[in-house]
Amino acid sequence: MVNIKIDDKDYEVEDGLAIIQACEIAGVEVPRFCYHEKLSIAGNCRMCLVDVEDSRGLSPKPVASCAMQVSEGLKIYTKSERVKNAQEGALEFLLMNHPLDCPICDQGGECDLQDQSMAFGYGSSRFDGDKRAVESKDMGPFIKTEMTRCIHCTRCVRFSSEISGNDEIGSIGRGHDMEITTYLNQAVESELSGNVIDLCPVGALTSKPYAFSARPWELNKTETIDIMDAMGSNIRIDSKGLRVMRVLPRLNEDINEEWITDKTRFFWDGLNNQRIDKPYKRVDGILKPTSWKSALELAKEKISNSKSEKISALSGDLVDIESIYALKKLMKNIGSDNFDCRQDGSRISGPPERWLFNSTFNGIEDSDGCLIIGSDIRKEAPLLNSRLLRKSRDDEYKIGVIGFNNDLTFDFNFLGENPSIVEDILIENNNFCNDLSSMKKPLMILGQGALIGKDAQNFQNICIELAYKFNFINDDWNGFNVLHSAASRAGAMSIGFFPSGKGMITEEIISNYNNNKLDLLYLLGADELNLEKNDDCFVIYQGHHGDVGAQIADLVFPAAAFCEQNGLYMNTEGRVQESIRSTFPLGEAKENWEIIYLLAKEMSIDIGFSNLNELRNQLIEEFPIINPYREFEPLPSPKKDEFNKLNGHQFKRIIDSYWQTNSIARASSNLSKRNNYIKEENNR
Amino acid sequence: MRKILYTFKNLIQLDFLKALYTAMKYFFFRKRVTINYPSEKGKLSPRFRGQHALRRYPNGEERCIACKLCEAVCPAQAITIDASPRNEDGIRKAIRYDIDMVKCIYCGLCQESCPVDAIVEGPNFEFATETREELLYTKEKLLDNGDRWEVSLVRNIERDAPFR
Amino acid sequence: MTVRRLADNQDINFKFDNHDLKFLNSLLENYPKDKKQSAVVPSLFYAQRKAGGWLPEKAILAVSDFLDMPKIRVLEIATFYSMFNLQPSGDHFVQVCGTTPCWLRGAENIKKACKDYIGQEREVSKDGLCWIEVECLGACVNAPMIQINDDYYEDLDYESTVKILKDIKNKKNIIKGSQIGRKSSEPLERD
Repeated sequence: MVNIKIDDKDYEVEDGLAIIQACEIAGVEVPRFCYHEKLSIAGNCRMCLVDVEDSRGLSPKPVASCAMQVSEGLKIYTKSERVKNAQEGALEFLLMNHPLDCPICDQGGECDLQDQSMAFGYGSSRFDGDKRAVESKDMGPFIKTEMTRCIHCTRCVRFSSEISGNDEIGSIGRGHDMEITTYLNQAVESELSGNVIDLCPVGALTSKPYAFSARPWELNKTETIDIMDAMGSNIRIDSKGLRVMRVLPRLNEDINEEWITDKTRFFWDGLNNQRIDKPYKRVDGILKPTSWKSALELAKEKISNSKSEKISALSGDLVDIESIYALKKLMKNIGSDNFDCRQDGSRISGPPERWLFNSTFNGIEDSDGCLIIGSDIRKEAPLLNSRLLRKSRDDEYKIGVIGFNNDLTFDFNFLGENPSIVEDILIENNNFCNDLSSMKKPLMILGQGALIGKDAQNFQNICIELAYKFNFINDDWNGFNVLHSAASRAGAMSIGFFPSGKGMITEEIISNYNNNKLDLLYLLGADELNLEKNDDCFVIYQGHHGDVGAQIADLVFPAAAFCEQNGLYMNTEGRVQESIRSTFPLGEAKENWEIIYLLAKEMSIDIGFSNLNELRNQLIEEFPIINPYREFEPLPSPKKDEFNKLNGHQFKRIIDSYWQTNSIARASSNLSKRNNYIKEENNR
Repeated sequence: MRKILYTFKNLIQLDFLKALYTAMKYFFFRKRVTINYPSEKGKLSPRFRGQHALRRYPNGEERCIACKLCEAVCPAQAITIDASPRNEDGIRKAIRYDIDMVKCIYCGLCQESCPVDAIVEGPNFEFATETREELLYTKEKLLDNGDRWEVSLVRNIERDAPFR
Repeated sequence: MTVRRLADNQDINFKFDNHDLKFLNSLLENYPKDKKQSAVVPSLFYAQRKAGGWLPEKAILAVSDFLDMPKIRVLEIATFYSMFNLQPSGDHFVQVCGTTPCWLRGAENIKKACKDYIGQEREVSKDGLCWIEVECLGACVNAPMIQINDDYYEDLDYESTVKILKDIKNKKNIIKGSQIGRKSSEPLERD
């Protein structure tokens, strides 16, 4: 700790902070454009100039506060006459070549340059020459460019090399002719590229799908969470009227820091396409609109006419915990144990520590090595990939990959495609063992793709054995991690929405369905199944998009999407967060839990709740792990179990196309445009 | 005595003569102050704030760029704008520009806030209608107003310019 | 300075052969092993020489491949330094120094000579000549001067410049260095 003075007030701050950080802690505002907490320091905007005074006296000229560290006894003046002059000068120079097109600029109203010109600017310009004009660049379907507005803070350049890791954006030319561009106008390929839109302090990089559609002051802001992947990124949904206009990240150092993936940022137009807005039932092979009353009556009739052991239910990837819990209660009341949440056929089971990301995302920062097994981590959790990228900058940090040899933006040791390599490592018959044994806090990241198939439990036991052998698990470190790719999976697992003992798992349900041995199948938002229509089985689909599930259904209940209802989700770490309603359900759609409640009421089943609060209280009482208000604490280490030699276990790729992993994403034209754009560019 | 005087005044009708004198004076010697409204109109200041209009550039291009400053500044929240990139060239244009003239309080802030002089309050004050619906102005109606009143709008802007 | 872009006409074959790679690898020895990208400027310069005095896109890609660098980083370097030519520069690339000492000693005349004899700046003439004005080339004592490919021609005036350019065209031998016969930069005898 060092003692410093900021504007004649004493503060004690940590050693090694930049002056601008110390000012931030002290609550003194220092204007800045190029400085950003998560990026390296460039010091090229000259906006954060302050006066400093040390034992040798006042500095001969103002210093850039982002590029100078605090030291003992330093006196900092942020409001002196000279500083004010310097800041006004810097702004006047920046505005010299900045067009005055705020009225048509999408950044207008949330622009750093606008705000700081008001707060720190000179008020007028003495420049009467010709302004510089720069060609706009093509950066793909997400990023709209207006490079004349660029002030060359290089935040986007640093982002692309430090966070997204692709090194796609750069600055060519120099001086007056400097331009920010991708290599010869290629589209940015990173999954995190949308973040440069937020980073850009001016309107040079703006969102293409959102172009001109709204002003920041007319939007309703809802702070909620994202369910496009299982990380549970914190987002803010901006809506206007009944439409979601855009999605922005929220700062959460434990999960997404301040980034979100492009899929999260641009899925919103999928909420307006292909929606189910009224109940449908199949008449003569065609789905026709019907009323809620007749739909519920039909469902009641079909359920009561079916044998309970021939009724089964599957839950999807985007469903909240409450409605899965409600469905579980309903199924138990009907007398059926055939329900499963593991649509992709994964065989995870047992206590939570066997299928959660035990080290937590922040634990990655403490780790000193990593072994990724059967996971295409860049597609399954791009933000996690970015955290690993940051760690991998350290040459000592070794990353081993077993499974898929894809471009992860960082260097890694590819150990092979075969799961049996884990066995080799276990008997120390692999080159990577030397690296592993030198690590004190390594991470093991087990993807869902590694846990599919009959031998999955055995494979997981081998991995746990391996974890104990090398330091993945020891007394003060638990680096055994399972990475999910579906947002509702961890939550559904934690309330036991999978058969334990009796009851059918997904594979059995599907084979029974195909062999006409099933009377009724209830799909709660389950869309990733690849089933053909089978007339012998009555299929009820409850969901929000006319996707795969609705196509095979005989009865469709319109439900709210995640941002149209309140609901709990558990991310892959086991952190429970609440998703908040930002708009209202479309048309006649109802909230998910309510549909199940109405169905139970129709069937005269006492399901034990009549509103969301009662449901949530019951849920939390039965499963305390779901309580969103509990202190988030690490789980115990997974226990060792017996294992045999692997018998034909294979890794399975669970994500083919990153942009089309769920029903909302498939309905989004933004994301499918992006999906096609890269393909087209490769063909060119 | 007083009663006699009073009777005398009544007798010669002095009040009537006084009134007649005043009336005749105004009738023959003073300028008229009333106007014959529907056929004659009073003078208007160039700053008069009457019916709204959306103006165009001389080449026919709409001026409005849908910056939404008027929408934001409107104290009665009478303006509703939707913006979108125009199909042909991707330029920012309003696809919807509605003014609820029933809500409008004719404060003129929309005109003040407009960076491109697109929305103006013109000299027209005779736009009473038979139904409320006719007072919900759309973009087409406002542009039409602009085309009709362009000559006087330009003159008013020119006359007011020195005082801005 | 103007905005620098890659040339429109990229019709050239470019590939590092074994001989080139041997040289480039010897360059790498000058730098720490894990800092390969330090060699980007010499590599680009070598590539420019190989491609005939300019950098086609293929050369930039070849360098980025060789050094394992992202393409955009190599492009940044290539556009930053004005000594990398992004446009074809002909067989005889004339760089006219126009910085203050040369300008004082009559660089404007030299530029006029180039304009009269070669044509517009940056345009390659039929004879493979091309000229541009550059910043100080570090031969101020012998101002004004020009650089043609690797050689300096100093103490010039309008006539001697035209003579040099003519001789190049006619493939005659030209004296390098001072054109008024002085050795290196010994003092001039004044009349």
